[in-house]
Amino acid sequence: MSEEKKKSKSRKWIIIILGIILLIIILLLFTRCNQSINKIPTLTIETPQKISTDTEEISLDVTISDFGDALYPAASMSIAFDPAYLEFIGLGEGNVFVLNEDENVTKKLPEWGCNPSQCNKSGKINIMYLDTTAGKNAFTKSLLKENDNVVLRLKFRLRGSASTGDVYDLVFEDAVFAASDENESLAIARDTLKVRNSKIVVG
Amino acid sequence: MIGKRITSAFLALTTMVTAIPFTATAAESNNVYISISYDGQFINGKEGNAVAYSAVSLDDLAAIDLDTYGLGDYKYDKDGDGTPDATALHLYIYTQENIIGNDWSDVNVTGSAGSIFFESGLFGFEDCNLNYFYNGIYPEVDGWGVTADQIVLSEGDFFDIAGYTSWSFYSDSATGFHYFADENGEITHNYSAESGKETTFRLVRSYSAMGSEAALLDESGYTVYYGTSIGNAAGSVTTDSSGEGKVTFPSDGTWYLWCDGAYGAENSEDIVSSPASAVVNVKESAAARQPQDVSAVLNATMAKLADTVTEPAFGTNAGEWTILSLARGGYFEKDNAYFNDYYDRIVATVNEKAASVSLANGVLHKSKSTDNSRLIIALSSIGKDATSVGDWNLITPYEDFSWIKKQGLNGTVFALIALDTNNYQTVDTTIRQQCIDDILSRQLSDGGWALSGSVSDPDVTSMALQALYPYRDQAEVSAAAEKALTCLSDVQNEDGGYSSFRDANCESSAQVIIAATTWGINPDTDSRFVKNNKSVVDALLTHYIEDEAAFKHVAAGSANGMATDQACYALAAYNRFMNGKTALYDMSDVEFDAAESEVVAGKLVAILGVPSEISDKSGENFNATISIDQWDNTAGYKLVDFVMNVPAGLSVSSVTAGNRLDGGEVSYHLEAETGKLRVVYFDANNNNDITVSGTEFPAQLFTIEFTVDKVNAGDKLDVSVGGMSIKLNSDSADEKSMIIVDTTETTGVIDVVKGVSYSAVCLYIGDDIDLIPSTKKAVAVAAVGYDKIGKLAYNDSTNKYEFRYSSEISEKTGIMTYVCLVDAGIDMTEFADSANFTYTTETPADITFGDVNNDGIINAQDALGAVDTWLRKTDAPEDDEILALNVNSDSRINTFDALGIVEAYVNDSEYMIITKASALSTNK
Repeated sequence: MSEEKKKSKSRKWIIIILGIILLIIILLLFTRCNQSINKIPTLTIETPQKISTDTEEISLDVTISDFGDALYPAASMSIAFDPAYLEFIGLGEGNVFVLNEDENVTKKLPEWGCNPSQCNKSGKINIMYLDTTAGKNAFTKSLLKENDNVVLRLKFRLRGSASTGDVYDLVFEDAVFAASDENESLAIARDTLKVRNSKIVVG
Repeated sequence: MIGKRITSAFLALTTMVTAIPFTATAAESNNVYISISYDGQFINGKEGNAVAYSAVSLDDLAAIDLDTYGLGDYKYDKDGDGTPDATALHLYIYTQENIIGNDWSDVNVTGSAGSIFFESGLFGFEDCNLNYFYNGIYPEVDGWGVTADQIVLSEGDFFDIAGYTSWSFYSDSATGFHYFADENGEITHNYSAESGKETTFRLVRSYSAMGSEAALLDESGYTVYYGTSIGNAAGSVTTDSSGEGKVTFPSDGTWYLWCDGAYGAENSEDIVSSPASAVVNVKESAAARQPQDVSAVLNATMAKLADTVTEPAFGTNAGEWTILSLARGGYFEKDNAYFNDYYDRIVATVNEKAASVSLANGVLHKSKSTDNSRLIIALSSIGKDATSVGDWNLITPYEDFSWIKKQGLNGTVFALIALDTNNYQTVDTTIRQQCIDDILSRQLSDGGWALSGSVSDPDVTSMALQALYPYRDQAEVSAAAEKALTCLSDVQNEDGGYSSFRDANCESSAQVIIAATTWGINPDTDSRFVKNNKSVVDALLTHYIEDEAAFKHVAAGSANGMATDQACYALAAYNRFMNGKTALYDMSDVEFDAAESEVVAGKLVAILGVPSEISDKSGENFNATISIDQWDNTAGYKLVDFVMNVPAGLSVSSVTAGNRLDGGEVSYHLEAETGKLRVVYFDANNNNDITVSGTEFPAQLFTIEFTVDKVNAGDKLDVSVGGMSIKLNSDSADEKSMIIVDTTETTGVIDVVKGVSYSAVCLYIGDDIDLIPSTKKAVAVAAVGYDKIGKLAYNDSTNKYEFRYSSEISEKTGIMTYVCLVDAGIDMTEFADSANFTYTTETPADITFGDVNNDGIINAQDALGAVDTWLRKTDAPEDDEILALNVNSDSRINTFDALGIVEAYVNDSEYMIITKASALSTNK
């Protein structure tokens, strides 16, 4: 075998290997791209900047990244916090609407059920929304904005026991945007809803 | 020959006007009638139909000019008004030409005015051997006759002409004319009947001849035919000894009864009498209509109303009529929170409105008495006494009739209805009669009523009927009602519905249904309210929108609140009628609260829950619960305390506050010598208000955990709450500083048992309204004597069930408790019989109330599941699903359960079924 032939053969192998690598890269890119298309909706409690002990009210946005194609007539979330240091004051309105039966006003803000007194007693913020028509006042993707979809806001006050350097976790114990067909629900328990917890850092 | 002449003379010379001894019924407007037969058979006219009671218009007769027939000399002007009268001669001419189809020129006429004679050719007969009856009798007056040309015809007159081959009809004793007769024995040519229902007729023979008294003789053993056209018999019947026969017409429509003429008694080969005919108007049999069951529509509508009208308040929309619907339809029990909350709102509204009206006597509007009446009706339906609502007596204004009358007929009608819902009395005892008289005075000539104008309106007519029913013993009232019911029947549309202001609408049908049921008439089957086999109930249901469980006002419309309200309480009225209950506005079945109890604030009642059995094993623990039936978070309660009598042999391990109680802390002490457990709950540091979260009651306040120290099998341990109070402040001199809680029912007896024992309570029984069949009930069985939670199966040789373990109830009571949905027919004692149970130490299936999808988490998915189930978006729930769904422990699965799940989730409160299970006394 001549040197020329040897070079030619090794060049061929290099081309094949490079081709395979290129193919793998393309496949990886396609997969990532596809994942971003089918990404799982995420419910996030905004993590704020450090909070000073004299802050009167802490308002944390709870945002949703996306919905599926279903209608979600009910939703609930259960968020653990430490009532020894944080006082849960109540909910603030978000900007995610639900459908409205009234033809003239096609959307409205959901009315969440919440009992701050009970939340502070139990250390668990339990919030629920229920559309008793099972669809006419539901959450829907069509009413989401492109970004910054605030479902609701959690309002806290630091108790006197809070001190600089403390970190207080806000942890989702459960959350669901429920569809009538449970297979279409977005739920932590079904791994169809991701959550991002939050921390309040006192600084 | 002499006889022939005489008979001819009957025809030609002696036809005369007589008094009419028989009444022909249902004669149509401005018509006279003619029947012609030959040898006992009706002859056919030119159309091929029998000439039997054929109608001829008097207008057509009057148009006949005798001059054109060469009979100008026979014109007759009896009343001398210058216009010739229509006479029998005109009838003959018309019949000859237009019914028979022959020329008048065929008739050979002789004689002169007042003595006209027809020799031949009349009606095609060759001779003049005819017999002739006018209005059912041989015409004669004092032996003098009047010829056909001088018989002036009147509306409803009828002629029967019978020709015979033989002249023996003249002398035979069986001669005469046959007729049908009504129940009074009077001649009739019209019957009414219902298809499929036996109808009685009567056949008579009119025997009358010159110089003899007329007589109607019953024809016994006579064959009578029936069919849809004369001569085409569908069947026949034979009359009995009284001339009566019975026919069952197979279908609705126009039918005929007829018979042939008969052979003579002395001339058995000759026909000597005429045939007879009658028209039978056969309607679809009301009896054949099976009254329909509207409960499904009623229940769905009530459920929708309850769901959408969440806070009914004073007013015509989403107010009193909704309350009336739900109360009289039986959707909520009398003391349901829905009604109580409404009443609380009403008290506030009444206090505000009554104070704002210058009359200041309980009037809610100075000129609209119906505001008071409407509210009184609703309050009566939920057992609230209208003489004491807030600070006002709503009945007092009814002393002033002028105020009642300011709203015209509406005012008096609804005043009567309102006063009669609870037999409210006025000092002026004439008020009711003034209302009655006012209503009667406004009745229109067509039998009905209207708010204005001279044409009856079905709504107003129905409402007047509803108001008048309690006074039906007054002759004027019963007579007016009879006319009004006829009026309502007459104005019913062909599709069974009713129109008001030209539009066929839902509300009119609704009011008619209420009126009919009030008067004991089934509006779905009574022929008066059925047209073309469509009843007024059918018509009402055509307005129902199934998907929305609501009603529309008119066919082309959409769901309408007023239509839905009225349709709903009309269906409630009909359903009550079908189930033998009192009428819609007859509220004698309602248990009214005592008036004073409604105005005494703070009447709270405590409820004690203890297990019916405990084990005799020392060291075992069990719980007692204390609940309360209501709570006012705005009252400023600062402290709750109570004393419990603890039997010997028990000690108290702990006393804890219920999840819903907030604002304080528990302190307690058991005095060993006396067995008195003293408990106090308050906030010693901040003096906070004591509150109870949630809206469902009873709410559990405390759990007392006992430990068994030393008891013996067979012991009966008496547990009771000796006194319980709620304090608002510390000023003992202030009589309003303390509320004494009613503890009269807070006693319980616990049986101490050795070994294994069971006791059971019924948690609820289905009522078929929303998803829980009435054949099923939920039971909770407490099992004592086992060391470990195990599997429990029931088998009474007929029924087998595997019970589900309820950790929630077990923890609450301290006793292992299982639940199951079972056949409602099983006696509860069966669940206390240990022979029916098999216990194994296997891990049992458990139940978590509210976990509708059984995924171990209770969240919005479960609340939505309850809604979807109620909306029937999912399959009917299985037994275990029913147990999980019915968290409020009523007889239905509906949105209240969904809201119960929301409330429990948000407030961290326990479900009513758990509270109920732990508070119930045993049924053992």
